[in-house]
Amino acid sequence: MTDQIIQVSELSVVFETLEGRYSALNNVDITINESEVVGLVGESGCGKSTLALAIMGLLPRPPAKVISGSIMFSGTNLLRYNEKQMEEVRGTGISMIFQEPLTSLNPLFTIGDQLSETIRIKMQRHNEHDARDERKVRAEVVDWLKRVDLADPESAMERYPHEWSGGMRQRVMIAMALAAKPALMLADEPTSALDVTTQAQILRLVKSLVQEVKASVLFISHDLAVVAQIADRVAVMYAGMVMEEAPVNEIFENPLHPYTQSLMSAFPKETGVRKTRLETIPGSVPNLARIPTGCPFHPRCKFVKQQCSTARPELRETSPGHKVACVIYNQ
Amino acid sequence: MSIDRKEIALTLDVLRRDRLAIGGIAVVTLFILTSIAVLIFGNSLVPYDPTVVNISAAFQPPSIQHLFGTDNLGRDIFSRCVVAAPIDAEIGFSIVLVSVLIGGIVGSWAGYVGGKVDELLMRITDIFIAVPTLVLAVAVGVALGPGIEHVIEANLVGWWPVYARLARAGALSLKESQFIEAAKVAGLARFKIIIRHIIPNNISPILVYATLDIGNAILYASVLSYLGMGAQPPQAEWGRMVFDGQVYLTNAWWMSILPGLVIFTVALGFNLFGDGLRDTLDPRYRK
Repeated sequence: MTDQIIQVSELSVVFETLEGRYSALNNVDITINESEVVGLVGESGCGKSTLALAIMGLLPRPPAKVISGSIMFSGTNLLRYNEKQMEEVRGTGISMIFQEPLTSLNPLFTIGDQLSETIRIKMQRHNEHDARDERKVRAEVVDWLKRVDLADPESAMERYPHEWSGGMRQRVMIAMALAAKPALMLADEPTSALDVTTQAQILRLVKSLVQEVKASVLFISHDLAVVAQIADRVAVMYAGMVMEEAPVNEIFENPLHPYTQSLMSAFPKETGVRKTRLETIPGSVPNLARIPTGCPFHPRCKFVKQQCSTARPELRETSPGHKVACVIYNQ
Repeated sequence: MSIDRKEIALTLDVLRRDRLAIGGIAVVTLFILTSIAVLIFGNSLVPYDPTVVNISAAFQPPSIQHLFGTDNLGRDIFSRCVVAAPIDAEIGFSIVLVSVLIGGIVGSWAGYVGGKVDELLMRITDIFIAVPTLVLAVAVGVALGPGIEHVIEANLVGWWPVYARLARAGALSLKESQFIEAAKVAGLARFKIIIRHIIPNNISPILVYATLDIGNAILYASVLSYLGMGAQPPQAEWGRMVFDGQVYLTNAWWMSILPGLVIFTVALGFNLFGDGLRDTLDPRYRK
């Protein structure tokens, strides 16, 4: 578990618009090890998706601009790659699934057509001579449709996206993301648009398939319950900064950062009748054009101290594997 | 790319419910079949030789013998209208098809790639839009001599930019769609994304516009022929016939009016067909 698949260090991204400069990522450090699932949690607009797009090299530029940092993937800094080189990384190196399975497939082509596109890319890049062999490609498509638990894959291939439900389409997207055997898969809220029962099935599926192809995963979600089910390690983001990072059990049993604690208490407990009102975090996520000075969370924090508004806390390890960015733990 | 049989059946079903579109399809079909028939059988298809002059039969009004009457040289106008069909079909279809090809590729490319490429391609497109087609056509006609090919070439200059704009608009909105993003993260190269995802999804609005447009192209070419730039006598062409007849409008109205009606009918047919096609491809009309 020590081989690093990807190492994002001190990554800062801003969006320069006519209304001002939005700081979307602020010195973000995240490392994902081999065969590890890292959950990335945070409220809407905290920069989770920006991070995923930055890794993919798909930030809309302009307005987005990387102002510092590096993204090391298999020995090279992806930020130095041009579009052509990034194309080579996408799919077989890093792949991605999205929140909206309903719109992630081209409405004009069959499921089989679209899945075989990915498989052909993989075969070409791995110099397999089968890429032109329609039967081999087809066989692999059927195999992948089986793996994502779609009934009757032979006829499923001939289906068009509109004939399928969101859950089924998300299964196809997962097959497409993993069929090229990537080292890393980015999952940007892949279950948020699905109902709860489908969500559970999809999560189980992702978990088992990822182990099968030995891919690492960056799993983005705003839902702590989802992350608890799938992640090995969790990073909590707020206003473009990583506030806390710890193994999954640790972060649920012993959340250190006041923001993480607030997130936990804002979350309904699994058992018992609710006797008290659910807690909410006072205030709202800061506008990224006007992030508070010092710790971005200080205006909403219960334990705010004087230095919080001036000094930006660094992410520090308090116990092995548990990092937190808060002055309370710096003494 | 495989086209679903069910999809085609559905399309035909929606079209069937639209009476005007059926009228349009009938006219368009008749026009195309006539053109093909003339190409195969030539002048033997029509009751009178369209080019033979017979002064003694000049200026006959429409009758059973001469459905559309005869012109100042005694030629049967109906026969001339029929043999002119393939020429007008050639003009209409080739102007629009070439425009769809050039405009579709330029527009899809510009819209999807964006940035400087987009800027450059669209400014070039703007230059072509700024060219006054009619004046250019006349100039080409004077420089190269009148002829159908020159009418087509001259028209193309100002014709394709509309398609480039249409395709660009489509590509711009498609570019933001999730399945394009998904294709990117799957590692598909930019060129392939344009070919496999942008252009196929861009086709239906362009196709509808093109169908509407064939009528316009024929009209436009007729205008040029009317100005003396297109088909040359004794070759029959609808616009030219309207032109030839206008001198005799007061005493032989059929010479101009009836070929004019033919142009009108064909243009209207394409318009109705295009309208129907648009409604058909609109998802709101489907279940």
